[in-house]
Amino acid sequence: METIQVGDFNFQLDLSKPLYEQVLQHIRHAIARGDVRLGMKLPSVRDLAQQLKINPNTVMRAYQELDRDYLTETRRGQGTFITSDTETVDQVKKALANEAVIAFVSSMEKLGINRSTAESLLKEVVWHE
Amino acid sequence: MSNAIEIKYLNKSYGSKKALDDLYLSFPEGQITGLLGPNGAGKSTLFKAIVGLIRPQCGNILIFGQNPHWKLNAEIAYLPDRAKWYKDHTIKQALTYALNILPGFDLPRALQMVDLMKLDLYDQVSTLSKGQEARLHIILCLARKVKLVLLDEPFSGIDLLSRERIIQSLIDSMLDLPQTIVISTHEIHEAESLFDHVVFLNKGELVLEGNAEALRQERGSIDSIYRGLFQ
Amino acid sequence: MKVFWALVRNDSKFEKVNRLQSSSLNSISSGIVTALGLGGFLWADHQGFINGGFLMWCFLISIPFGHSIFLLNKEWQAGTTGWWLTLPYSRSLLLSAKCVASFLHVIKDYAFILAITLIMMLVQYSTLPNFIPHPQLLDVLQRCAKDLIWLLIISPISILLGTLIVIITRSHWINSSSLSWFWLGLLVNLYVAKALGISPRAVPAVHPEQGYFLSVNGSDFFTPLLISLTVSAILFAFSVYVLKRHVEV
Repeated sequence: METIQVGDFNFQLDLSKPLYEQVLQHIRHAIARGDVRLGMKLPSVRDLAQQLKINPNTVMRAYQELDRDYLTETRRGQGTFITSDTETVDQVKKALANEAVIAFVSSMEKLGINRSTAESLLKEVVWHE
Repeated sequence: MSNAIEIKYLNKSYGSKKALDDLYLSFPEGQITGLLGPNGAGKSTLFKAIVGLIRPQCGNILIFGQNPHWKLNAEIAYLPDRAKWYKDHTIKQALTYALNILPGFDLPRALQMVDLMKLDLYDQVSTLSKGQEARLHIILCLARKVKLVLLDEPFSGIDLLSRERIIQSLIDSMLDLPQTIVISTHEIHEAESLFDHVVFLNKGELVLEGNAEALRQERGSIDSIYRGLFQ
Repeated sequence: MKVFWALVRNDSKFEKVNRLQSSSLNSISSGIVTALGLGGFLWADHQGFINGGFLMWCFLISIPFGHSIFLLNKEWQAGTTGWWLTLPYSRSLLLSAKCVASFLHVIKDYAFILAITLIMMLVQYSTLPNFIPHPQLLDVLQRCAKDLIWLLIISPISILLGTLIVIITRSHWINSSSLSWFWLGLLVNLYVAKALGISPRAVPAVHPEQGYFLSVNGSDFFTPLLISLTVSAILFAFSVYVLKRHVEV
């Protein structure tokens, strides 16, 4: 899978999964990680669709979803801007972390690993900090 | 969502060979639909029935609520299968002709596309490469302010660069003017990320249809679904 | 109307395939070929071993037929029918544009033949010694022009005959552009001309009351014109019907 850079964002699209969700996740994660400056303008729908070679409807749908989470704000005639509100970003980051933890827990459960074992595993694992 | 085209129990046969076999399907309005299937699936026949080039034996076609008629072709930009443009035209003459003949032809936009597609206005069609001529065909179809665009195999047998330019202008076209676009192809990989909706045909029958994103969610990439169905 | 003339212009453009220089070269070379052809006819006529009058008659009558066959068939041969037949205009408009384009070509060709004949005449006269009586140039011009008007009067039938032949050979009735249909059409075309009183000029004798290229019975233009237009209208209506109902591309 090739990485396509558009503005400050890096996209890797997998055609075997819904594209709209992937675009959404890439932007969400980039904002949560702090890869992009707050208050900055997102690439225009046309630019993003052109670079990723995807249907502009898909990009528009992802942007609408970001707006709904208050992670971005679309100003008429100007484009879509990332929020400058750090609190919103923190909330989203927390929500994403929660999702990841839930996924982790469910895969541990599938392996039959209980909570204390999982916690000790977590302590042993190397963190790239 | 309303449908741009509704096909009901459409039948067309050539001699004993059935090209369309009780076909029943619809194309959603304002979306890009991929009409997919191997050679002989009935894709071209379906397009031809919509624009009135052939007469189906029975069944019904509704295009924005109307039966096919030459008057309706004013609202349809159709790229014929294995299309060729008049060899004696230069690109400029082709555009002038289109401006005079085709309702809703947007000359400034066409000129912009000629620029974007890296074509020369004074080149004669007979001197163009296959890819260049395909780009001209796309301009003649997409520089029209029409409600429906039907492209029959726009990517077949042309170079990668031309394909990319065609995809670029399709994206632009979608943004500039809300249109219903139907693209038939059997080379899916290049174009699949453009589709909102996909329809799989085989031997004149509907095999599968659905929203592209929903199908990706359920069954993986459109390309792999195609391979699964036809190989 | 603007659309109609744009169609006619495009339909009649088939010759200008090349750039400007070579197209003037083309017209020079086709001028030479025509002059040689005419010279050949005159010579053969003189010698008396080929009936030059008959050949000339065939040639002149077949011009409109050939034009319409070529012009309409070109759409299939060039693979452009998909564009042509999906234009948002009725089949009768599309076909009439083709026919008008053929007719314009026919007028152009006849005018060309007239011009070549007169030029050759002038050249021939300038070489004649003074003591031989010269035919009146004005008289020759008049007779040529009269012949050509007769040919123009029957040319709609020839054009429509050619059109119908192409459409029938492209319909699913026949489904192949067979050559026998072409010859059949050509024969019918010659027969129609004969029936309307346009016959080959008697060879070798040239009677002063005869036409220059042909021998025409009668001087009334009106009745043949009426017949020609009526027959053409019927052929046109039938061609449109076949194109609409029985031609699929």
